[in-house]
Amino acid sequence: MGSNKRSLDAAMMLARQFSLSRRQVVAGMAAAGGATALGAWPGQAKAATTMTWMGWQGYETPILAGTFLADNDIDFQPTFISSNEEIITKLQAGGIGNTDLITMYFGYLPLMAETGLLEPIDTARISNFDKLIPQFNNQDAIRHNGELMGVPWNWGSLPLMYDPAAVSSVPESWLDIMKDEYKGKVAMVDDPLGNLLIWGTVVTGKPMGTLLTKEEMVAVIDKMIEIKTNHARAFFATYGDMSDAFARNEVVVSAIGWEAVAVWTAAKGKVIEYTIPKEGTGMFMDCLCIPKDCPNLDLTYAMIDHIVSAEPQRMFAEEQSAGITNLEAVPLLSEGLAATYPYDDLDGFMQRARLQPVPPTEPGEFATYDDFLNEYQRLQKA
Amino acid sequence: MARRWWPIAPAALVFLGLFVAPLVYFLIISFWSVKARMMRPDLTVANYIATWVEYGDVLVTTLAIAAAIGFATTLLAFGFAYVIRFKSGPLGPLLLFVTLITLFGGYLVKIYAWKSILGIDGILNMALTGIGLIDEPSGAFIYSTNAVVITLTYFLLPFAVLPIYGALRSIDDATMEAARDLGAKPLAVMRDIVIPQCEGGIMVAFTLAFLISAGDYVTPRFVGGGASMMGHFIETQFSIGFDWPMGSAMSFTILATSLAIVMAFRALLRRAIRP
Repeated sequence: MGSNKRSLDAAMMLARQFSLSRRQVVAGMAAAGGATALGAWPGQAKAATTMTWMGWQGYETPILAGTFLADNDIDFQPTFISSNEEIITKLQAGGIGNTDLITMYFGYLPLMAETGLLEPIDTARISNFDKLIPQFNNQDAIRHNGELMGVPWNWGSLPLMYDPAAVSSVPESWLDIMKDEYKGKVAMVDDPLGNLLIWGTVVTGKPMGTLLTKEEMVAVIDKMIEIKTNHARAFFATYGDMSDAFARNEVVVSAIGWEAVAVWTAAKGKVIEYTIPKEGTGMFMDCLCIPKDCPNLDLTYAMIDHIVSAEPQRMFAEEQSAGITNLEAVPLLSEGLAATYPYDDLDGFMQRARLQPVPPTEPGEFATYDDFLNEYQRLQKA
Repeated sequence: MARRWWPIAPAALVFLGLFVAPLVYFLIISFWSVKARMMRPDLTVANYIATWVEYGDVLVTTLAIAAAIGFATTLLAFGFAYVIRFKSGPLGPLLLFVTLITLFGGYLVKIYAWKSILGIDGILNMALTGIGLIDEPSGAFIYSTNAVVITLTYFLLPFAVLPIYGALRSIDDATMEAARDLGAKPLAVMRDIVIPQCEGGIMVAFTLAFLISAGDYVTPRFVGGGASMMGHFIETQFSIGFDWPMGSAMSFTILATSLAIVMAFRALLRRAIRP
């Protein structure tokens, strides 16, 4: 979740680059051309071990925390992604054998395990594993043939966001956003899976909104097209854009959400709140996974252990306004952030916000992932 | 003889390795298929057929928006370059500098600048409400195709001004003065001397503006409010679609149709300026 927001962060980073003189640019181009032609870069002090990682911009925070990299003489090489699926593509396109660690939405783990992209996790090599929230560790969806495929390390949900100063009452149902009073003031975000996690359940009444027949999938997209064309202010590219729109009073309710949006919007001087309507909502959980043929397995396990240890988890939570999984880190959180996520009643919370699988890959009882994408593109075109 | 080519060898290697080779690779895989998320070598045109069947409407919309941006940008750029070259006297270099200075801003920065200008609480709405043209701020300026056209036209304008200005600079003042002395009216001078000698610059300007717009998918996402152009769906195939062959076929389809439109524009321009 929040994928597009993170891709924007990465793009903004690129946009801020380059304040070089013409001479420096020309010299750099000549050097780059020569170096590429010769297959080598000019001398650069190298650490003992180069470790490659793929994930969202900002997800590297816990890795950089403390002295882990220096202590282990690691040259850390991150690759930032614009979607979870990009990782799968990159692993398939030559990343296997060259990648040490990835961070992945849990729903894709079965697919990746089936296609041989992941190594099973040996929990005995992660000293902090037993400190992680058991409700996440025990999920069947992160196991394949009984073996753990990913270590849960951050999570969140997709609540309905609203402007308390502009709504007549707190929305009780997702369908309340279609009331006339909100016409043209509904925020949508182009987050394919996130939208399905919510509206699959709202339209069909099924608790797992991602496991639908083809007819149900069509009905879900039809409903979303109705919202987009008749009620939405815009189909925002990122959650950050949605936050901006709330801050500018352009929207007052949302068809999708993320707890972090409330934190960002508050930083812009605007208070918005969120609620989980009676139909419930979707939840997301990102996992640390080891790609097949990981080149530095021992250090990768050490890195995973470091990422899920208390202080890096606290730092990540504070920086990204994210939910974390190490229970020892929870008391370290600032008051506002600790209150944002219901660490004290996760069971109750998970009744209302459900972890749901990605639609299946093979045809059968349910519409496939490809069926979903084809339908979702109908929504994008509308 | 061979030693003459050594200096360009590094650049040629980079060009071949980083441009030609990937292009050939994507052309080849556009005829492949995908099974179980893995690309399979094949020789099928199914991806090209699917591009027209499933994305034909998006393709037409994309080309229409890109053409609108191309024409608007070229027209504005021609006017601006003409003023710099012939009408601004000693202020010409300053105007050219002002044009170039807009290139220093980043792409995303410009997009966000236009979001600020066109938004409900933006400068445009403030100005219109300030002078009493509208009673309350309008949400119609942003999150629409018009916003995409405005933003991309602004972004591409400097790229279009430069080639046209370069072409205009090569026009000899004496030729224009001779035409005027012989009784040619301003419109005739423009039609028979300026535009024909500026044809190359106009073509480059239109081609740049049109091709960049046709391939863009970031601007529509941020100021179009969901306005979808072909680039967005190509991105989808390469990312969450796991279908590089389909994405490649879509890319080469829009490349081919775009080139066809550029060639058609060139033919029309030549016919229009033929004496």
